[in-house]
Formats: sequence, C-alpha cells, structure tokens
Amino acid sequence: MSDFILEATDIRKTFGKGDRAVKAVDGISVRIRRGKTLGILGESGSGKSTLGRCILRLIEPDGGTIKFDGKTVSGIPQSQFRPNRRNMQMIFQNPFSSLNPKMSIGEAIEDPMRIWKIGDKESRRKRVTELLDMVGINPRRSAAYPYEFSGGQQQRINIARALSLDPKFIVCDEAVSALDVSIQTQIVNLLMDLQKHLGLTYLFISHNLGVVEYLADDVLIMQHGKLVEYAPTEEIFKNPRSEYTRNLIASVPAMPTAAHLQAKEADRIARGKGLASARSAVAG
Amino acid sequence: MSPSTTTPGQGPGAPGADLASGFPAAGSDPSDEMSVPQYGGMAGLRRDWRRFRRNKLAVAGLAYILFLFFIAFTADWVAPYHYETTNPPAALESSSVQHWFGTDELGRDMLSRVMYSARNAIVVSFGSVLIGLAVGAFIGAVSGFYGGILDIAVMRVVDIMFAFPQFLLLIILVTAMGRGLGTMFVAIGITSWAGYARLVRGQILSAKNNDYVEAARCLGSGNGHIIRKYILPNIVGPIIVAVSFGVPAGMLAESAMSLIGMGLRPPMPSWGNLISAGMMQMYGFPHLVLWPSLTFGLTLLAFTFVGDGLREIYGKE
Ligand SMILES: Nc1ncnc2c1ncn2[C@@H]1O[C@H](COP(=O)(O)OP(=O)(O)OP(=O)(O)O)[C@@H](O)[C@H]1O
Ligand SMILES: [Mg+2]
Repeated sequence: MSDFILEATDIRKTFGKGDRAVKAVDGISVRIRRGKTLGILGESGSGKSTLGRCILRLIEPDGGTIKFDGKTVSGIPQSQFRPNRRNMQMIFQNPFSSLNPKMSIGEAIEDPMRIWKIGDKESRRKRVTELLDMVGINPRRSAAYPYEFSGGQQQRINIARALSLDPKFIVCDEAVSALDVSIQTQIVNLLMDLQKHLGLTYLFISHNLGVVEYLADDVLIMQHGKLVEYAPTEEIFKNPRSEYTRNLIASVPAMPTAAHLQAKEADRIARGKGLASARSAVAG
Repeated sequence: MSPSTTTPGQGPGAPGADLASGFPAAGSDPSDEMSVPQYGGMAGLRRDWRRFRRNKLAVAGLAYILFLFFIAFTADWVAPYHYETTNPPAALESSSVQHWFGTDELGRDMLSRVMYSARNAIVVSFGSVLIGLAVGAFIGAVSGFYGGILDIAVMRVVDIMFAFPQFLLLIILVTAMGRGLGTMFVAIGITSWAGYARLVRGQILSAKNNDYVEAARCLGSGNGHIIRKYILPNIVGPIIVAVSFGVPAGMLAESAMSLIGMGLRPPMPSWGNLISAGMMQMYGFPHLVLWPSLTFGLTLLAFTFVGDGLREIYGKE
C-alpha cells in the first residue's frame, strides 16, 4: 500500500469558453501522506475550492489523474467513482447553508448511513449519539434543527455528518473562516483531535496563514490557479522562496473572516442573479 | 490568528485539547440513549402545526374551510332540499324556519343552493389548482433542473401566458369547449399553470444552489434522494402557500365566469350564478344576493387567513 493516501497529478479545470475562460486550476499536483494535513493557501479566486472539488469529483476536472488509496479514481464514470465517496468527505465554509434546514441534526447525520444502508435503525441512532458526543454536541438535542444552533455548533454538526461514514480523507474548505476567532480555535483543535484519534488525512483550504501554519504538515500556495510554492510548513514560513509568498506572510494579520465572507456572498448572489437576469433578458 | 496565544495551553499536542473540543476520553460511554429525543418521522409536521396554531385567524379560517368541505360533500344528505326542487307557491320568501336563507323566484331553497354552490366551487377550484399545479410544477421542475435552451424556451412561453389576460383566455376556452363543470376547471387550470411553473422553477434553481445539496452529493446521495430529501422539502412550503391562494383565485374565476353567464350552466348553482340572478331583484329581495355573497366572501377570507398563516411558516425568511 502506498504511503500517500492521495496523489493528484496535473489537475486542470477551466470555466467558461473563449476569451471569458478562467483557468481556475492550472496544472496542480499534490500528494498527501496518510494521517497528515496539506494546507492550501492563496488569495480569493486563486482556485483553492475548485481544486478541492475536482479531487472529490464534485466537479469534473478537465485533465489530470487522481489516485486515492492506491487506486486511480479519475477518468472513470461517476457511477464507478461513487463507492469512494464513503472514504472522502468535505466540510464547507458556511456551516448553516451546508445543513438542510428541513432535517433535524439527528436525521442529517443519520442520512448518509441510510444512503449506504449501514446498520439498522437502532445502531444508526446509536452511532448518531456517538458522533454528536465526539464533536461536543449534546446528543439530547438531536431532534433540533440547524437554525437552533450557533455557527460553531453547526460546524461541529457538519463535522459529525462528515464522519458518519468513517472517511479516511476530508477536504476542509475554509471550514473555520466563517467563525469567530475563539470558535475557530475550538474547531481547529477539534479537527486535530479527530485526526489524532481517527487517523484522518486533511486537505485544509484556507487563506488564514495562522491556522495553516498551526495544523498543516505541508503547504501549497496557489495564485491564479498556478502553483507558487509547495513545501513543508516550516520551510514555507521560515524561508519563503517566492516574492508572492513573502508578501502573503508579510500581510498577516490575515483575519479575513467577516469582510471576506460578505464579499463572497455578494459574489455568489451576483453570479446567480447574473444568470437569472441574463436568462430573463433572453426570455423577455 | 495564532491559536497558541489565544488559548493558552492548547498548542499542538497539549493535553488540554481533548477537553476543549469535547472529544470523549477513552472509556467514556456515549450511549446514554434513554433521554435522547426521537427525531424524524412526523416531527417536522408537528412543529409546523404548533406554529400554525399560534395564528388564531388562520385556525378560524381552517375550521371554516373544513366545515365548508363537510357541507359541500354531504350536501346530498344534509341539505334540506335538492337544489333543483321548485315550489312556486313559496317563491321569494325571506328567512324562515323552513327556509333559513329564504327562497328564490321559483321557490327553490336558497340554503340548499348555497350549499351545492360550495361543492361546485370546491370541485372547480381544487380541480383547477390540481391541473395547473401538475402541469406547471412538471414544466417548471424540468426547466429548472436541466436549464439551457429548454429553460429559455419554456420561460418565454410562460411570459407569453402572463402577458395574455386570463379572463380573455378563459372566455376563449369556454367558447371552444362549451359550458360545464369539467370545462370550468380544465380551463382555469390551463390558464394558471404558468404561475406554478415560474414558482417551481425559481425554487428549484435556488434550492439547487445550496451547499447542502453539494454536501448530500458528496455523501453519496443519488439524484432521486437529493430531490426527495433535500430539494422537495425545501420548496414544498412556498408551493403550499401558492396553492392556498390559488384555490380562492379559482373560485373567483369560476364565479366571475358564472356572473357573465359563461360559467356553470343553470340550474346548476354557483355563487356567481346566484349573485347574478339575485342582483336583478336586489332591492325587493336583498336576501337573494346577501346569503351567497356572504358565504362567498367568508370563504375567500378564510382562504386568505389560512394562506397568510401558511406563509408565516413556510415563506422565505
Ligand atoms: N461554477 C463556476 N462557474 C464559473 N466560474 C467559476 C465557478 N467556480 C469558480 N469559478 C471561478 O474560478 C476561479 C477560482 O474559484 P475558486 O472558488 O476555486 O477560488 P478560491 O481560491 O476558492 O477562492 P475563495 O478564497 O474566495 O474561496 C474564480 O475566478 C471563480 O470566479
Ligand atoms: Mg473557496
């Protein structure tokens, strides 16, 4: 068995066509050892999320190969890829919008086990209790709905849901960026504890240098979809080789939370609206 | 952010980290299940009902509608007379013990005619909503899911439907199909699908965009599961609200058509028929207009209250 749980080579993804094409990910390769964390750093729009989604095949990469646990999982149809979903999970930036508002948190955590027909009703509920306990949420609240929890608690619930299938590998896409600083610390510590106890491997996407320095073993720095630097964490932070990295480190305190989130939300809405208004313009 | 300074003693590998994150210490037993509340099943519906119940007007409206339903569908048994039974000697009487709502110019019992009108109104309005919703939801859902050129084409047709006056289209359809109960709800259904199509399409587009749909896909859900458990439950609220306003709109359309003599064919009673017939003798015999108008008005009001109550629960925050 290979030392590396994930080997992605020369991943490419372009959005749009012609002169409006955006090379979101342009030939990035990563390798992550079992039980380790790779941090991905880069400014907004540098293609970090796209890379994470390509690796999980939530979007189809245009090129490159992905090997997971020694098996090639790229270039096969989604139906053949699907069994791998049990082993690779994702935690999203916005803890509230990644939970279905119409599902109690107990249902939300149980649902993946139902999809995969794991255990019977009773054993699944027991597992839900266990998972909630593990992430520090009182299992007595399993019938409550997402809006009844704080952001930090919601992210704990997302983590519990991601863990419900016993994955080996988790992509954390700015999993703490939306949270208050003190809550960020709690969630980061929770993720590290879980990694230690469960032997998880993380791809940790962030633009928060402090967090990445704290938990990543290696760091990859991206700009405009291209690789800038890829080295062990210590090396990156002690003697950054590129100008870009030096500037990035110099620009700390990088506490992008609220402002960044708002900007992103605005961008998302604009993109959705743009589409809608473009459509109705055509239709009208 | 520098975690080692914001939380002293919780640097990498610090022993306190386990406690802070609530990770269970080795040997702890998390299966204290006795007091864990049950979730799933009907819990969501029960919660919705509890919230609905707080709006007294909506509850009163619902009670009225249920009563109306009961009357409408048991009219054959509970109505004191048949709607066609004439009795010329007792024509144009006002309220009495035999005829609570009085009688019309042929001596027919107004209460019975109002009751049967309720049945016709319910059949026409619910039937039309069912047709409009089935057609509209299907077209809107396909359009929203698949997008592209299909979506553009469908939305153009919807825009045309909106630009066309509903009443005119109704008159054309009734002229083409002939008057009658069936024609009525098919015609109203046909003229109302566009609204449901636009609603469902918009709801699906925005629900599809949510992170929880991507999360569900990532957890291994197939399309069917995502639609059933993640998209439908999130769009069913606005659809219910739309239906609760669509039903009285259907009643109104039916009455309006009856009022101009293009709705139900007399002697089949309808609130619109009764009101238009009564208006000719409104000054001498006001009860002919009063009772059907009152019942009709109350019915519309009840649906509005219920619709508002539903909107409080299911409307977008
Ligand atoms: N679905 C999409 N359609 C079109 N363009 C997209 C799509 N998703 C991402 N992009 C574009 O691809 C580029 C990279 O986006 P991506 O979300 O990967 O960046 P990111 O590094 O995660 O940024 P952030 O820090 O803001 O999350 C951006 O220019 C973005 O606008
Ligand atoms: Mg991103």
